[in-house]
Amino acid sequence: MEYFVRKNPVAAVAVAAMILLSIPLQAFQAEPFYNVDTEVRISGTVEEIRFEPRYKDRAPFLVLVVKEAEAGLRDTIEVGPSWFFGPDLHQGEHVEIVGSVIRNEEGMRFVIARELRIGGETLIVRDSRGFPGWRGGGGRTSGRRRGRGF
Amino acid sequence: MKRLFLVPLVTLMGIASAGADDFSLSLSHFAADNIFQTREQTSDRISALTLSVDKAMSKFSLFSEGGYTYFARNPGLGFGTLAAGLDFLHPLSKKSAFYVSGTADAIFFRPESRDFNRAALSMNAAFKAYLGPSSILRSGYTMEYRNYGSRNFDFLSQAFQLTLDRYFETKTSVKAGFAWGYKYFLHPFTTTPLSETSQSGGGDPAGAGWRHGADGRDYSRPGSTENGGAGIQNCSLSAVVAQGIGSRMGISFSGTRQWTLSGKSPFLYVEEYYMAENPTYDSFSWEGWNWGAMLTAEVPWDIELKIGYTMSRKAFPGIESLGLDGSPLGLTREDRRRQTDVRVEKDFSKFTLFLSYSFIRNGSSDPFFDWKGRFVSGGIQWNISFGKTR
Repeated sequence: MEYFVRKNPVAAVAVAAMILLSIPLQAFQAEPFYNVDTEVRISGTVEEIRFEPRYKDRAPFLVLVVKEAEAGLRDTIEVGPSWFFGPDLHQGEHVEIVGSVIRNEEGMRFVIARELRIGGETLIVRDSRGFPGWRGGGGRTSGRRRGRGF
Repeated sequence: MKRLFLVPLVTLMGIASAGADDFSLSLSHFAADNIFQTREQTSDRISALTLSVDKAMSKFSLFSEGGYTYFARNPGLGFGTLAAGLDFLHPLSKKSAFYVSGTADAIFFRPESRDFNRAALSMNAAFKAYLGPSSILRSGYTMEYRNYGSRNFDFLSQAFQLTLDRYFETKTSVKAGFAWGYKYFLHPFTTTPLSETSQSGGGDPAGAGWRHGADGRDYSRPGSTENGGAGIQNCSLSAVVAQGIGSRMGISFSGTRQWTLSGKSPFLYVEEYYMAENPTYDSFSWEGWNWGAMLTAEVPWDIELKIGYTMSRKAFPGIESLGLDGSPLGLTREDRRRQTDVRVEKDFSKFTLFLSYSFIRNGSSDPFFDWKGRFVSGGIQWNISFGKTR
């Protein structure tokens, strides 16, 4: 073993890290999952933009409060951690959102966003099955972004 | 030296793979009829396969990615990529956050182009804050070290950006930006000619075609300090005005003015520089201005339409124009470009289709880059993910 570590320090570090991180982490709380069966389309105006912790051991999420144009309902839209550094959303902007309606353990209703449409631009946050389109934390939003040139 | 890059790369890729939250596989194909955008029109069909693996750990996340790009008609241009990194996202308040990441990446070309192989270490930091409900301040800093197969191109660069934007009730956004950068070529001059194989062929991996008759040039530069370094410092101001039209359309106008504050390209001819960077894309290579307008709209069947027009005038300090036979013309290269683009894209649940058309007129003091052409490209991209759905 010592010979292996001395001769292959890079491989040794990598193997040790893999072993450590292969141990399943204890789930601290149940996290809601994207449900394609509860998908809705919401059209409204951004009333509030927040960056807040949503789940334990997770980076904070970009959260929007959107007032629906027709029904007048206020929806809490959970976007994703890296999207805080993604598009520059502003209060008062009109948005269209495709997302899954979820209720948390306290029965609070919110929407996990899959697509955001702003001024002709479509931001694909998750794919059709809800898999996140971001990579890493903040600055590597790899979700597809289409449209508006700014 | 390469081992220094492989240490973080292999370690981070191993860690991310071991306890990954998400695996994504992306496969794309597209065809274009002028892949190098020079007067020697070269068409090709390109396929790219990318595998990404991510693992989130509280405010940290690990990301790694590997891929290969294949050129059907120019297989010698094929290359593989590896990247891995760690990033950290920290909220400072409900309206502001700080982000930092470190990345190691490498590109491996086929043996005939191994001079272009490169490894890089980079660090990015960003800050974003809502100054008010409709006003955003962003700043960012990037530092990168690149180590190439041919040491002439090794460099260390850093850049700083600052933008401020404001949204008005009239659906108008106004954004202003400032950027500063410094790029230092560590040892750009050498008396050893590069291998002949790296100077021949229909194109180079950096994305530019080669001029016939320029092969075999000695890369030494009379009067320069052998193995000395050279730095370029620049800054720019930019502005964007965007207007939303209804809920499914937007139009924007943007402009940038860039100045070279000190230094100039340490490479005498553009071919030398092309081997490391395509000057059109490298922000350190030019000074001048560009402006553009773009209309984007969601048309029926959720198809996205984008129409853009850009104009630019760029001078490349230190880069001399050459005749088509490779003889110096005694002029600094200067390009004036007008470009019109139309692109339609349709996102299906399993894949994305796109079709684009461009008309480019590139006037240049260097005849090789004085050309115009129409380009059509179309493609399909599949994205497949495994893991947690949130």
